[in-house]
Amino acid sequence: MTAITDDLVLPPRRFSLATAIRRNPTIAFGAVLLAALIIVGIFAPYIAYSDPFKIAPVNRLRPPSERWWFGTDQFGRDVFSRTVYGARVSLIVGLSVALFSSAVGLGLGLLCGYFRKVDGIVMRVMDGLMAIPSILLAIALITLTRPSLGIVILAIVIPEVPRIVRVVRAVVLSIRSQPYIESAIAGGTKNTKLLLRHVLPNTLAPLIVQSTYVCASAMLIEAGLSFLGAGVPPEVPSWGNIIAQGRTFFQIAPWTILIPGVFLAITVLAVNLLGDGLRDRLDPRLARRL
Amino acid sequence: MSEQSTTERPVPEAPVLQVDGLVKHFPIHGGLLQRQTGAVKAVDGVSFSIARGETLGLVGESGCGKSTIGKTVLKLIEPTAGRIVLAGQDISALKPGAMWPHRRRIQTIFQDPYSSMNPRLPAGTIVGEPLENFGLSRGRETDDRVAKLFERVGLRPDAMRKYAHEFSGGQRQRLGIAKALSVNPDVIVADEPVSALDVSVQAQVLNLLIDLQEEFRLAYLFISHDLAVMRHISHRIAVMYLGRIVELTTKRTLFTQPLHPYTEALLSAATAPDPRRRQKRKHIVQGDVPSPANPPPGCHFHTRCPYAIADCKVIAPPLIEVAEGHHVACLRRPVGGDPGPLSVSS
Amino acid sequence: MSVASGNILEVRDLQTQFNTLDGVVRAVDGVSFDLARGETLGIVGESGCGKSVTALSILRLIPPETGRIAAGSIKFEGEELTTLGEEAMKRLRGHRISMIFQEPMTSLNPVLTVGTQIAENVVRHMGVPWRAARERACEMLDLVRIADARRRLDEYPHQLSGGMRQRVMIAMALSCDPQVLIADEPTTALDVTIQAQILQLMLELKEKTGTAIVLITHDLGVVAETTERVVVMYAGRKVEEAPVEALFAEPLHPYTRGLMRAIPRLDIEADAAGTRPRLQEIPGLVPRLTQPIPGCAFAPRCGFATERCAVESPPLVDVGAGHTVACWEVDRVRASAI
Repeated sequence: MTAITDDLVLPPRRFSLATAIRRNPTIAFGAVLLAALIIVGIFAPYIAYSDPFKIAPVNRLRPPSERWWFGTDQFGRDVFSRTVYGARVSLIVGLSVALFSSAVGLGLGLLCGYFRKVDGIVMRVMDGLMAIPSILLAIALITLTRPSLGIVILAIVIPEVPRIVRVVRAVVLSIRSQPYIESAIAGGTKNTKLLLRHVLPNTLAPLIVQSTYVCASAMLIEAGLSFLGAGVPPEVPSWGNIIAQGRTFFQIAPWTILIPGVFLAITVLAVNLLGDGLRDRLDPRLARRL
Repeated sequence: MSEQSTTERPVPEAPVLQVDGLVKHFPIHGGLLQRQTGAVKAVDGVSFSIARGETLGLVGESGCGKSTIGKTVLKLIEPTAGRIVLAGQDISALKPGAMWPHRRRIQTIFQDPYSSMNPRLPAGTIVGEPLENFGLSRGRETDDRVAKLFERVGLRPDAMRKYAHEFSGGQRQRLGIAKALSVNPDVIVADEPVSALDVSVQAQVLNLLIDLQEEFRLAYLFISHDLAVMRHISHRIAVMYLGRIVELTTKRTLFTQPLHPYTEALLSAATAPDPRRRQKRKHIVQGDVPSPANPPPGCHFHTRCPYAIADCKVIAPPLIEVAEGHHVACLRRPVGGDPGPLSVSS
Repeated sequence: MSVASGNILEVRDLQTQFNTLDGVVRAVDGVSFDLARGETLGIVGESGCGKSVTALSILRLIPPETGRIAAGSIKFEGEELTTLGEEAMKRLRGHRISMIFQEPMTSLNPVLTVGTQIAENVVRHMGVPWRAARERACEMLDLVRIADARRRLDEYPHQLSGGMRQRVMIAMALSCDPQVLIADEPTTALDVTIQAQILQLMLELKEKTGTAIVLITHDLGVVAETTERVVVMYAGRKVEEAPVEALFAEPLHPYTRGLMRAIPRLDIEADAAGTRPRLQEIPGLVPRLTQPIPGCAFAPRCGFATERCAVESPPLVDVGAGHTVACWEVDRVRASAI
């Protein structure tokens, strides 16, 4: 009978939030900032002290003051309340696009990476999709239907899916030749179980990182679309809309552009920081270094 | 070396694994339209058989095709030609779906303990997966069986919940062995299972493999480049060079009376922990191992062989039984020929 | 003074440490040895014993973000290396002390021809014009027995086989006539027949150029056939040192004995037809280097260990004829069968 060999090599390490934050400042900062913005978005009705849709021409173009923290726009609408509600639109668009494109991209990426026959056809289609700029697609879709949040999300998702597919596919291709996959096949694991249990978990880390970039990108695209008038309907407060409408009066009322612009920049920054931090942390080569 | 384990070769019966004329070519694509421009003849007509409880060692240097044979026999790669008969069933032409039930009978252990385990699954799940795959047990019963397997290979059962990176290289190799053993296979293909391990750990794993073979009458196809390890664990050894078997015989004969010039070269080149051997070293074969995409014509070894004659450049010598149980593929080693050293040709 | 005593390299109480997530790893924990001019010294041990880190420490190649030489002295021709400035170290590396590594493919730049890489080194350290450097590169390729050297100068690493690339590495390392060549597992990644060629080459070159070699390996066979003196390392410490014949004839440290017994042997004719004797295992695992080890590092796995071994670290004792060993129970070990 073989003697029992000694204990395991590594003792389990206890998880401490304080240490985790210290070691990953980028993730912590990005996550906190994003969380704050999400809270603002969710509780917008409570945070905004006035109705963002209410028009009061008598109060138009007032500078920031105690009554209107961020001033008013040319219709007398309170910029603070509109900006706060605008967070909802950007975050909904960003997160929805990230979610849908990841879901579709993951599925397609797994299939492409694993089944060579599927790969050839689908990747060519992906190349085609990537060539379509979201802006033109959004405009085309809007002329077919009417402007809405759903259309905007769809228009941004379609060109973003190929990006995710590429990332997932690359991971699948590199994993496919790993000995543990062959070991699983030799041990009788069939394709479905192989993909779901062995391949998929390894794609999640790069997928999450990529989807944060998609989220940031989507928010910027939405702002651009709204700015051009091809995004959400004009009365819905979206940072892009607010900036678009404030454009004409920029010289006398810069706050109508600057404030939503700054919010947009901060949100995108938060998401990018989160993505960068996660990418560094999840990279297996860097993960165990101090 | 202390105790000796059970000795003799097992009583001859039908071989549990039989390979005839196995060929595997990998196409090379090139040019604008990616047409096939050539082929890497990784395995070029290989035949052997392994009996229950026996270890056949497959030894050779890089590019000789030994790993490819391992993967082809496991049907992880489809053979280009030839027959593979596993426990009486011809599996050579079976498609993946049809092959699946036969996988129970042939399992594998890989070389690299670090990449042969899924880093995201607990060890117990990895080891128990074949049991669940073949429906041999589920849930609690699988856990029990896995616990027993852990003990059998010398690991604590409570390690089942740990992840691969928490084990050392030697322990991971034990996990691989436990997994291979879980479904009671007839054959285990071990591809360089100890090459990446430290010497002291290597000894533990080799001893374990020998014990298990005797207990379960497993047949091993043991692939390695290390002659010393081969000597220790094999019953019979096949020496490979560029896709062909050049010599096949019992372990004892191979080391006491090697016939093929390449075997001689390998034995001479191998280092041994004995400083006195420095002076006794015979001629070291020169030249590099040719590429399997473009092997020399005739006998593949003729470019480096000190005994090559004119015919060697043209005729590919077949593997023939020149003495009982001793097969050699060399034009200068005919049946019943003199087993003594060859003379260097002019 | 080291130059007068014939020692080209003197390492004293070297301690190299790394900061990791699990704590401070004492990779090298007080190692001392000498290298005489023209001598071939083998440093042997299993993975994690600190042999590669020792070599990297000599050339100050330890990445400063994670590790450092915590203590000790390294004298090369009388000059203290641990305190030498980085510029002076750069002049030394590749010139007076050279190193070759295990994986020639990753040690050679894939986008430069081999001739360029060797010539570059020569220009840098010897300051000669390019043409002369290329001539020298050609000479070096000849020296390492690469056929058709002039043509090979213009080839890229991927066009060469593993054995050839290692020869190119050796050529590059010797191009500026170093006094010391450190070879870290130079043949581990090579096929057996190629390994034999490379080892033979290294011995020949040693005769020709008089370079001292530090050969680091885990392979006792390589050590036996190539080196003159051997240092055995375990868990960052030196446990035994001896001339090579003495080490193999009568290893004194239990770890050295354990290693030798655990190796499957090619040369022993003892076993009769078909028998498969058990290899002598060394039970247990290498200790974690994140905790300081109070006694002998090998004690938990040692068949001769006593209570003293667990608490007191044995010093290196000279037992005669250049053979030193760190073991409290040397006499008992000696008396027992090998």
